[in-house]
Amino acid sequence: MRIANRRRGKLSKIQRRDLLMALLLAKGAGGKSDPLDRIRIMKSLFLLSQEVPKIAGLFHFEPYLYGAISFDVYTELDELESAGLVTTTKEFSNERWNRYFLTTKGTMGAREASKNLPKSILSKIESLKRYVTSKQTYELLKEIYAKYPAFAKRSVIKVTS
Amino acid sequence: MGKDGIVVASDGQSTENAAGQPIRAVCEKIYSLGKGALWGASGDGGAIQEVKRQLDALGPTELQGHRTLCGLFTKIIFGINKPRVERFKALRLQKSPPILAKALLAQYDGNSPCIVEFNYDGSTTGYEELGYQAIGSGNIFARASLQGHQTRNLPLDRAEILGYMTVQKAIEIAAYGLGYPIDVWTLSMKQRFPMVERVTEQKKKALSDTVAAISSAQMEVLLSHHAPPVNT
Repeated sequence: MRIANRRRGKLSKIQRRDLLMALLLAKGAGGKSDPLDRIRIMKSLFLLSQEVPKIAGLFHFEPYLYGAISFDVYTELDELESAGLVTTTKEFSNERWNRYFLTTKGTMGAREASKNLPKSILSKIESLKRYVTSKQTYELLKEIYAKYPAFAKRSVIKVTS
Repeated sequence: MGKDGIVVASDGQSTENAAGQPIRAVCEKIYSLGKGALWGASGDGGAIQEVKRQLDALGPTELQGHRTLCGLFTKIIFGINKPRVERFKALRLQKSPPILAKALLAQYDGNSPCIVEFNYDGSTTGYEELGYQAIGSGNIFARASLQGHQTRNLPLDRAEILGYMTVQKAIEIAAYGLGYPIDVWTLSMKQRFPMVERVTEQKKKALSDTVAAISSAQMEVLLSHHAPPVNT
């Protein structure tokens, strides 16, 4: 009950950082808190902002070179990294550059952040995490471009169905 | 060189001679000359610093005009390399010759974009017709990446992607001598005047992600057109 009240009270104070950390904490298609590359983080938050009206204005998404992007997401990631809450590992693979992991401190922070979010948003985040981690990058972009074509107009990748 | 501007990109590592083996250091390699020109140099960090020091010592009026700048770079680059080669010949302390300086200048000559390379020996080469050039230890990788792309037809935002991708690939492939961070600048005409701009850190992240998206699309092309082997 207390948590429910707390969640209701926080509705108007949802922070971009909380959403990002909850996304990194959520279980992916593999059943674990899989790290995410920036494309998947970007697309998860884009879908979240499109499909959850309560957070529609938190990130400013615009059509860009690989579809919808918000430079706010890059800023938040930099700040989380500076605060020691996330870290990145660079690997020799085009598909998985710069994946973002929660640190131990970040995991504790993400658990706390998740408590601040309404259940409906948490549930949406979890389903989006499973979705973006179950797709190859191109397949993911293709599906999102098909669903939100207005945000694909500047993309270097043109998808025809 | 795109259809509406020039992109200049570099890695962020210089290589220095040391007693045991060459060592690396973080180094900026691209600089602007006022609002109308960009230059970059290769060689060791000391050579790049020396080019910059000599250019900084000149007043704005001495740095105007394409021909003037070409003359200056030729003189500076040759002036840096000549004593290095002479000292090497005189001392013969090193088995391999010294790292020599080169420079690349991107500038508008009137309304025409120019890319000029200043070679070790004081000679110059223009790359307006080809549309691109690379200098330094990663130049072969960069040229291989750029070859086949019709750079002259690319809008500036697409040319930025190609520039970023080219340097990123070179860094990933080279055994040594190249390293992050990547630096990207553009030179384009804004309201009839040339204007240099440095790509921001956030925009470079977007470029990096765009390169990853392109790689995924390339894989899709290769995989989707795969025909199963025919049994004969």
